Amino acid sequence: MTSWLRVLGAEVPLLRELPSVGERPLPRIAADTGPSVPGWALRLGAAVATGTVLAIGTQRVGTYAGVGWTVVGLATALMLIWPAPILALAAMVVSGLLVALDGYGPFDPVVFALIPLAYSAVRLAWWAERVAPGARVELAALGRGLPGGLAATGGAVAVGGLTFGLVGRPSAVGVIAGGVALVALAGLLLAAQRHGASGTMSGRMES
Amino acid sequence: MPRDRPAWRPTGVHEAVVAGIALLVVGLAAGRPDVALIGVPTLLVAVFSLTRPPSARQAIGEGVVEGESTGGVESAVLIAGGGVAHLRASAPGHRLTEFVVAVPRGRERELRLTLASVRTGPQETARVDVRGYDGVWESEPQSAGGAGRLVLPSSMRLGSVPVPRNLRGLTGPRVSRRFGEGSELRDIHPFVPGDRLKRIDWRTTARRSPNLETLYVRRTFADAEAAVMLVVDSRDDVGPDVRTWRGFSELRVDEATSLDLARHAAASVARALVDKGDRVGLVDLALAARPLPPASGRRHLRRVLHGLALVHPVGDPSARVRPPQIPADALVYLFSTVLDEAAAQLVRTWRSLGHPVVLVDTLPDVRPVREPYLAIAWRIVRMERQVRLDGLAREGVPIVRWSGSARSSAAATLDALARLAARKRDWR
Repeated sequence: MTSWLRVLGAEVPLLRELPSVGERPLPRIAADTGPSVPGWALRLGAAVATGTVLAIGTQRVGTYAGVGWTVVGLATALMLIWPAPILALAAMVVSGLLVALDGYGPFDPVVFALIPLAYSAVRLAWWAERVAPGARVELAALGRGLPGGLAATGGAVAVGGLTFGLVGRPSAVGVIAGGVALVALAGLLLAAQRHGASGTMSGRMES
Repeated sequence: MPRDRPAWRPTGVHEAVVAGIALLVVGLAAGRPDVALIGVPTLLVAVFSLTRPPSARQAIGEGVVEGESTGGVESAVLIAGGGVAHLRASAPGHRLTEFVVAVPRGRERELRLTLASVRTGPQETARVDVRGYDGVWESEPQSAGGAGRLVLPSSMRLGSVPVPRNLRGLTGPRVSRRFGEGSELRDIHPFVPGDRLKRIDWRTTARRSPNLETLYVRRTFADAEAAVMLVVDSRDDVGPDVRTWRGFSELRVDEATSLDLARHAAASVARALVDKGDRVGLVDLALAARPLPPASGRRHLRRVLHGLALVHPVGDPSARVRPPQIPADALVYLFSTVLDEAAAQLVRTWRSLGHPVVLVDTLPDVRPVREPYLAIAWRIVRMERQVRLDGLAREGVPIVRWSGSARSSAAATLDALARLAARKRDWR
């Protein structure tokens, strides 16, 4: 029987092309990188973070629990298979919409968890989209942009804390601060547009 | 030197801005500041990063590494500009390997890449495609690497190795059997015309001929050196996997082939002989070019190693019409897989001309094969080879295995052969 199977395996082209069980994988190229994490860990982190963001939103609404968990499972699976920041952003927006619909207003304290989680999900999805599961990513590379992210997240949480204290009471300071923030954001966007246009223009000219 | 390349472009900003603004609008419409805050960090980081494009353009290049090496194939990739570099490295026989590394601000990052190849001879360094990231900015991919390197064979420390009994020359580290200028005492002999005066042994003369009627001189053996030719049978290059022998699949780069073993063995023997001050030459059986004549010295050893690194099969293995010429009194080391009759014929021809021959068997330890037709073919080839080797062994040809576990005992085998060669007058 064994020899018959071996003959079959040797003669049928399709079977002959199959890799043998004892076949070793090809060797890898070594590089002197610093401490690093594998690419699959980032993919897993992105999937878990996205799933958690969605789970918080769906569980906050409370109705259609089965549908909620199905959406969470689908999003997590999709992120594992095809990681993309747009998926994490969609999860963030959906979760925000669901929080807006819940009955814990006017300020739901769950956003103190959602703010860093949503940012982490987007950031990890950005990495997971670019890096293959077998890749090695230096911790120092992951740390690039981390101070800015921490500052933005910390700032948002701090503002949330202040708002949480003032919620329910009309506050002139809050309105002024909101207006200033909107003006600053508009200014940043305009500046960014100008920089982006000049950057791509120079790239186009030189290429 | 790194080459400058422009084209940083922002990526993924629009999605982040749209998501952030959508949440702001929803929060505003619903009167929920908490909802508005969820997307603020993503929005702020994207917009802030967009306002700060990378100041330096990304530049990559392959660092200067010596053209020849003995420790595998290494290369250095230099990356400048951007905060993070994403490298995809590829090389023949290797998996596509990805790394993401941090690039210091305003400085160059040197990344050393090492291939897992154990091959010697002409090799290529890893080719890398590099893409830079800096916040939301991303650069166009660029390529570097793929330069040629000549990997010289490494060598193993050997004790003494067989040398011919008939030594040549009037200088060298060995003691000839002829009279001559040397340091080894042969006998005390009465002075005859032609003897040098400085060779007179006054103490012996005073003892044997107190009246100085006869003078006695100390006669010595002449100094000499051994000449050895290393003949590399580079007509074929086979690995441990029989399936690769006819080119049906790729040889693994992390397994030494017969030619790698031959290079290593020949380099080890050459180093052992040159260290003793003997003369070594090199013949490549695949080429009809002139052999490298025997000589001694470090510079010549380098020449031999270089020649060994460059031996390679040319076309199909074919038998030579005439064996390569070997200098008189030279011993021949033949490094061969003995997969055809040509190697055995060469050994017999050289021995009939009076050259002692040491056959170094460089066939790797062949792995068993699954395919029945290959298993039968390999069985036939193996038996034919064994018949050839047994025939040569019966004729008195010393055979030294150099593959797998046999390599560790090769030094002891060569040492025993060297002692046997020194003891037996008719050793060939």
